[in-house]
Amino acid sequence: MTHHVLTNSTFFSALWVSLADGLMKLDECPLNQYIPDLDWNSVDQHFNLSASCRHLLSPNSNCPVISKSHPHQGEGILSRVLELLEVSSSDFDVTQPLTVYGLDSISAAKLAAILRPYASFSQLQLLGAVTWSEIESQLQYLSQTDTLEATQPSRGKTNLLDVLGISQEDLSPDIPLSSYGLDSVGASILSSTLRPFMDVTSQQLMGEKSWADLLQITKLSRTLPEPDAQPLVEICGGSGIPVIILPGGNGVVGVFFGLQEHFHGALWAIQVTDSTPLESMETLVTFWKQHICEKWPHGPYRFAGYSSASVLGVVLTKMMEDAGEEVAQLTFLDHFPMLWAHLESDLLRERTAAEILDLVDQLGYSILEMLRSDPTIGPKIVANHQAALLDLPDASPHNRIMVKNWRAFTPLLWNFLRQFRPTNGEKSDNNFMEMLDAWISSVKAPLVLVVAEYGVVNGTLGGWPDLGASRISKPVKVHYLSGVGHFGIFGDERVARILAP
Amino acid sequence: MAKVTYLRSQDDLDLRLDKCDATNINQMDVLLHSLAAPIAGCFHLAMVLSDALFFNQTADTFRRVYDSKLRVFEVFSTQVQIESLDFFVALSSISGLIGLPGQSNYARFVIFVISLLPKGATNIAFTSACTALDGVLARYPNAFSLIAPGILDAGYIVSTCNYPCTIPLSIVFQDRTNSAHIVKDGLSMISAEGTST
Repeated sequence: MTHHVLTNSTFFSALWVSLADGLMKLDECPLNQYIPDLDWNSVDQHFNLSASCRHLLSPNSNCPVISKSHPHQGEGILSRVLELLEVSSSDFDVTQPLTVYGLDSISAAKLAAILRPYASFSQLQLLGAVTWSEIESQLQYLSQTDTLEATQPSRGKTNLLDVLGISQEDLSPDIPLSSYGLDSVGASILSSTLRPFMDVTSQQLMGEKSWADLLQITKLSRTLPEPDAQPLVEICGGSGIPVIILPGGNGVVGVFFGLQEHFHGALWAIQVTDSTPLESMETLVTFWKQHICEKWPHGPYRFAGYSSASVLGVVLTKMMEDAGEEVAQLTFLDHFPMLWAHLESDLLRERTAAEILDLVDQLGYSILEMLRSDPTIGPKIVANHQAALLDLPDASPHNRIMVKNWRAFTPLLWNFLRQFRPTNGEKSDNNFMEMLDAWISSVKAPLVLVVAEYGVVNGTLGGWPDLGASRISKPVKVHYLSGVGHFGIFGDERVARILAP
Repeated sequence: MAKVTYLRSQDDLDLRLDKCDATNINQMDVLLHSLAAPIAGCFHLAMVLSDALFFNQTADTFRRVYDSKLRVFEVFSTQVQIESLDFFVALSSISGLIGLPGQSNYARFVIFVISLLPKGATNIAFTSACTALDGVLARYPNAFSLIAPGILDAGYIVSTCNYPCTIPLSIVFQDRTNSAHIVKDGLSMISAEGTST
């Protein structure tokens, strides 16, 4: 039997090797079924193998799948092309069509596969009069605009229109792609051609995903702050009182870009940068308050705390109110400070430094749970985050930074919450809740809570349908959002309306 | 195309590209009776994709896929004694192996074709499959199915209509080594002519 590994999608010429192999095997003995040596990791990456098939994966398949970079390796690619064409570099004229060197349909298919990570050339294009210099210019374009592509997926949209066979005018971003006749073959092709622009699986494409949903997924993965990044990031540049969102424990703002589609007005977000002091909750919030006041010196303000920043939202609001400023609204996005009371009996007990680190990682896995249950999150994002939590060397820089921020921030939060434990020796849960309630309820601003159906309410911290909002003495306006998860809420129009009514 | 042209130029090869509805007994009868020599082997590459989420599947979307897989085999096997062939190979899919979104109908019928059950065996998991065609290929020692991943280049006559339909059936007479080119380029040629066979 030949050893020929096929990926989740392939070309007929590659499949023929398996077909011929099966016929030869049939000459030896009967067989019912011929299963080629598939690249199961690749299959899993695209189709998310069920548990019953996961034994097929190689041991390192839990490692993250890192997006292929677009290396400046024109020479390396060229050497593979020359090898394919069986032409020496001295005999190769980059201005001559590749067909001059005997490129046929089968070798064109192979060449398209070689080029796919760097540029999108169809087999037919290559069989036209395309030259290496033309291909190379495309490769250079991709590498120079690598960063741009992450934020400007217009070329991805062009590929989408090509695959769907529709015009720009006929594409409505909110209609599921399956409505345009996208079938599994088209989804596989589209997943492949969109890879330079966004990581989206054919499974996601075959779901009820629209183009707007895909853009949202892309935004989730472009969250790395630059070294000289400012803590305050403008998400929407409208007018009026800005809504300022505090980031979750991972300190990044990527998910908030999902609000751009539906939010009207000014929307800013805070991110953790190299200059952010992570010594205590008070110093952290004081630093952010300073940056906010530089840009918007006086209230009224609208704040929102996302995820575990719910506590930060209270700290910031109280700090502003203590300084005489008005806060028009404090919104808690899929989290509520009272949730910590749900775990208090064990959460805040005395711990060694090593135990605190263990606790931080345990809580980190609750994020993994929420990623898995969020309908907008693909398995690759989950795998990448898991790899970062496990400190695997192949974890993406993006996920490593998120986990690093999480590990820096969570101990601050843990220390801060411990102050609500009674000092008189009666360290009961009820006492903790009373003290926490008194602290939260001392906020003057109206409180609003958004609860995502597939969000934190289902995770480790869950247990209270309203996340504990009804357990404080101050009234909280609670919005229950159906059909969204902890990370996908920002693409939902309802959230945009709640933030700035 | 070049390979079809090349193959047609070979003196020891008689290459024919015919189109007929492989689900139609009469058309298949005409085609098979027009052959000058006994059939050595057959590749059943027929495929219809009629993808939809499970709750949007209808009897019709199932029937279209059924026709391309089982109906084609039924028609062919009523005309040709499968045991008399050197081989019969059906192209199956990883969809039937692992289950792909939107392909519940396709997975169901490629599983039929795969027919994991040897003759006489029982398997609860595939009971429904067996009631339709018990051991479709497993009963034939000269037949097997090939689990194929998605094929991106040849083999599809792509259509943007709701129900892209491709039913290629390749019948091989002599030279196995050239069969790939016949199938691949033959399909391309048929595709270019806008017909299906």
